[in-house]
Amino acid sequence: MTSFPRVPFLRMPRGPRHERRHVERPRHQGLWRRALIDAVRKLDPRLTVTNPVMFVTWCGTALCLLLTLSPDLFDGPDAGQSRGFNGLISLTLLATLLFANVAEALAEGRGKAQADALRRTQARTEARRLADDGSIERVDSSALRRGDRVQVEAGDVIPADGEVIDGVASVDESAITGESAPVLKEAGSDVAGSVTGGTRILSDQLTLRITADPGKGFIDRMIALVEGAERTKTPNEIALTVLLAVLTQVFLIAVATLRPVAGFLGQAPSVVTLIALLVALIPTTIGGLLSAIGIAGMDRVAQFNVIATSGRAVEACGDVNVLVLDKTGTITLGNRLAEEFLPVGDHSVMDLAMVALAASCFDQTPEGRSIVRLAERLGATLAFDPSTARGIDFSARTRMSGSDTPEGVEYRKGAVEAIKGFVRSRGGQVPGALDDTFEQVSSLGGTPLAVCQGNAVLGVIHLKDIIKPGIRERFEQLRRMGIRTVMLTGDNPITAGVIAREAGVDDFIAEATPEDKISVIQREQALGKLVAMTGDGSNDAPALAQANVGVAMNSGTQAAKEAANMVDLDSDPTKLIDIVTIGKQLLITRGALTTFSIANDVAKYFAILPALFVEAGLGPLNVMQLASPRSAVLSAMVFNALIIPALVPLALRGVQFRPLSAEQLLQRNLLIYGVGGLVAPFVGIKLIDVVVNTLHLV
Amino acid sequence: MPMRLPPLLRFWLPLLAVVTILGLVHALGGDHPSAQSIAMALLLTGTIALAGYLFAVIAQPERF
Repeated sequence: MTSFPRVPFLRMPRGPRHERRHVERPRHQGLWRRALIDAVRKLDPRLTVTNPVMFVTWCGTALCLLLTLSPDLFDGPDAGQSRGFNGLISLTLLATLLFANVAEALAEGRGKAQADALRRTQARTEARRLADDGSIERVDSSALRRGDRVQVEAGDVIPADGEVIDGVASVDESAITGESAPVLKEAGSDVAGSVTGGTRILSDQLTLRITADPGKGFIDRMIALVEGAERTKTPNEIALTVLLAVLTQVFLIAVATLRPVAGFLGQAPSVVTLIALLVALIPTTIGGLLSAIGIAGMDRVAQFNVIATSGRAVEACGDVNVLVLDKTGTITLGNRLAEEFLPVGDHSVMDLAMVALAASCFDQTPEGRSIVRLAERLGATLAFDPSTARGIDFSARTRMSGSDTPEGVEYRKGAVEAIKGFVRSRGGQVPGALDDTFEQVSSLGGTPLAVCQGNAVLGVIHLKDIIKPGIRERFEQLRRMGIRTVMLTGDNPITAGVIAREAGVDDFIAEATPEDKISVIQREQALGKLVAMTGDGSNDAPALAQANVGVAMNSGTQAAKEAANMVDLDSDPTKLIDIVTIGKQLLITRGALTTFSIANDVAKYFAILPALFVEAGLGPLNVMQLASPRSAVLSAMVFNALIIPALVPLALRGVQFRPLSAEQLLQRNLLIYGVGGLVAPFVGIKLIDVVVNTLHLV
Repeated sequence: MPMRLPPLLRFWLPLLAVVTILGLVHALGGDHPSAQSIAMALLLTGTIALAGYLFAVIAQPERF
C-alpha cells in the first residue's frame, strides 16, 4: 500500500469572507435549558419508538421502575429482591435515556437557533403593490401573492421573494448572508435578477414580480429545513437503524431465554439484572447518538452559511467521488484581466486596441472593463458614438460579444474559433498568424480572445487567469480521499490543459457549453460515481438537479436554487470542496462512534456475565475484580449512561477530519475507536466500581 | 412527530396481546394463577411484542 506524507488539511483562503461582518448570527443562549426540557419531552414513548435501541431501553426502564415500586412482582417475597438496587438501576437507565435525548435536543437546538436568526429577518412590512392601472396600493407583506407586482425603493425591506422586472438597485443581503457589501440587482439579468424577502434595498428603485406566496418563500423553506421539520432518515441512517435493530433483536431473544437456561444451572437471575444485561448488550451509545450525529452534520453545513435541503444531501457529500468544478471563480480568481494586445498580419497594436475598445464598450464584465482600461491606457479612442451603436451580448452559444454601428460596421471579440467562423461567414480570410498567436497565449495558460472588425481579423487579446492560492494542495488532498476533480471551462483545450496542469485537476472539459455539464455528470453517474457540482444560472438548473450534490449560489436564479439540494448563502463556489469534507466527516463520525459503541460492549459482558453466573463457575471471568455482583451490574450501567454525554461533544463537532483514503481511515478508526472502545470501559467500569463501593451504594 | 399505528393494527394488536396473556397465564398458573404467574405472563407478552416491534423496524425501517 502506498503511504503518503501527512499534511494538515488546508482550509481555503476565503479572502474578503474573513473580513465579513456577520450581522446576525445564531444565538445559542438558553440552548442547554431548552435541550433539557426537550430531553424530558422526548421521553414520550410515541417519540422514542422511532429509535429501536432507545425504545427497548425505555421499556426496560419502565419495568425497572415498576420493580422498584414492587420488587416481589415476579419472584415472590422470598427471592431477596432489593428495592434500593432496583431503584439505582432504574435511575441509571433513565439517565441513559435522558442523556441520549439531550444529545439529540442539543443538535436540534443549534438548528433552531439558526432558524430563529433567519426568522428575525422576516419582519412583516408594508408593501406597495402595483395595480393593473398602474396605481399603488399599500398592503401588508403577508397579503402579497405569487404574480403580484410591487415597487420598492431605497430604505425599504423587500416584502417577499421576487424577480426584478424593472430598475437597477443595490441591495443589502447581510440579513441572510452576513455579507455587508451590497449587491447589484437589475432587471433582465439571469443571476442578479432575483431578490429575497427580508433583504433591504439601499439605493434607487426596483419593480418586482413576487415569485412566492406567504410562507413559501426562500427563508420560510430554509427555516423549515434547519429546524428539522422536514428531516427524514438518510439511507445510511436507515441501514444503521436496521443493523442496530437486528443486534437488539438477537440480544433480546438471548436474554429472554437466559432465565430458563440459568434455572437449569441452578441460578435465578433477577429480572432487573436481566434488563441490565440486555441494555449493556445492545449498542445504546450509537443508538443514543445516531440522530444527533445526523442533525449536527446538517448544522455544521448551516454554520458554513450553506443551507442543505435534506440530511440526505449532506450525507451524499460524504460519498461523492467526482467534483465537477467551473474554472472561473472556483479554480481561478473570478476576474481575468487583459494583459496585452497581440496584433496579427499588418495591423499595429494601436489598430487592435481601437477595435478591441469598440468591441468592448458595451461589455460590463470585469474582463470587458479590463480590455477597455488597457486600450485607453494605450491611447485608443472610440471611432463612433456609443449612444448610436448597438451592443451584442456574449452568449454561451455564440461565444463572442461586440457592437454594431449604424454604418453597419461589426466589431467582435470572442473565442478564436467563434471569431474565425464569424470572419469566414462575412467572406473574410483568417490569417495563419492567428493560430500561432492563439497557441502562444494558450501555452502560457492565458485565455486568447480574437478580435475582428467585419471580415478582418486584427489580433488577439491575452486575458490572464490567476489560479487561487492553495488550490493545488486541496486537489491533491481530494485525490488522496479518492475524489476525482473535473474542471469545466469555456477556454480552448490548450489554455484549459495548462490551467488544469497548474491547478492539479484530474480532468478537464474545454470549450464547454452548459449542455456539457449535464452530459459529464450523466457519464460519471453511469460509471457508478456520485457527482457534486455548483451552479448559479438557469441553464445550470438541469445539471444541478441531475448531480447527486448540487450547490446553488444564493446570488443565482430561483430555478437554480430550486433544482439544487444546497444553497450557499455566501455564493462562494469554492465551498463545494468544504461541503464535501463536511459530508465525509459526518460519515466518518458515524462510523467511528458505531465502532466505539460495539467495541465497548465487550467490557460490559465481562462485568455482568460473571456477576450473573458466579455460582455456575463463571467467577474467573471477573477480570476487573469487581467487588460484588450487584456493584458490577451497577457500574456497567453507570458507565453505559455516562459514556453518552462524554461522547456528545464528539458527535456534535464531528471527529477530526483527515484527507486519507477509505482504507487508511478504516485502519485509523479501528485503532482509535475500536481498540479505544475496547479498553476504555474496562478502566471506566473498574473506577466506577471503586466509587460505588466507597460510597456503599450497594 | 409521534408515531401512530394503522387503524387495523390498533384493533388487532391489543386483541392479540390479550389472547397471548390469557394463554400464558393459563400455561404458567393453571386454573388458579398466582400474582407472580400473571406478572410473568405479562412480561413474556411484552417481550414478544417488543420482538415483533423490532421485526417491524427491520422489515420497514423507513417507517420509523
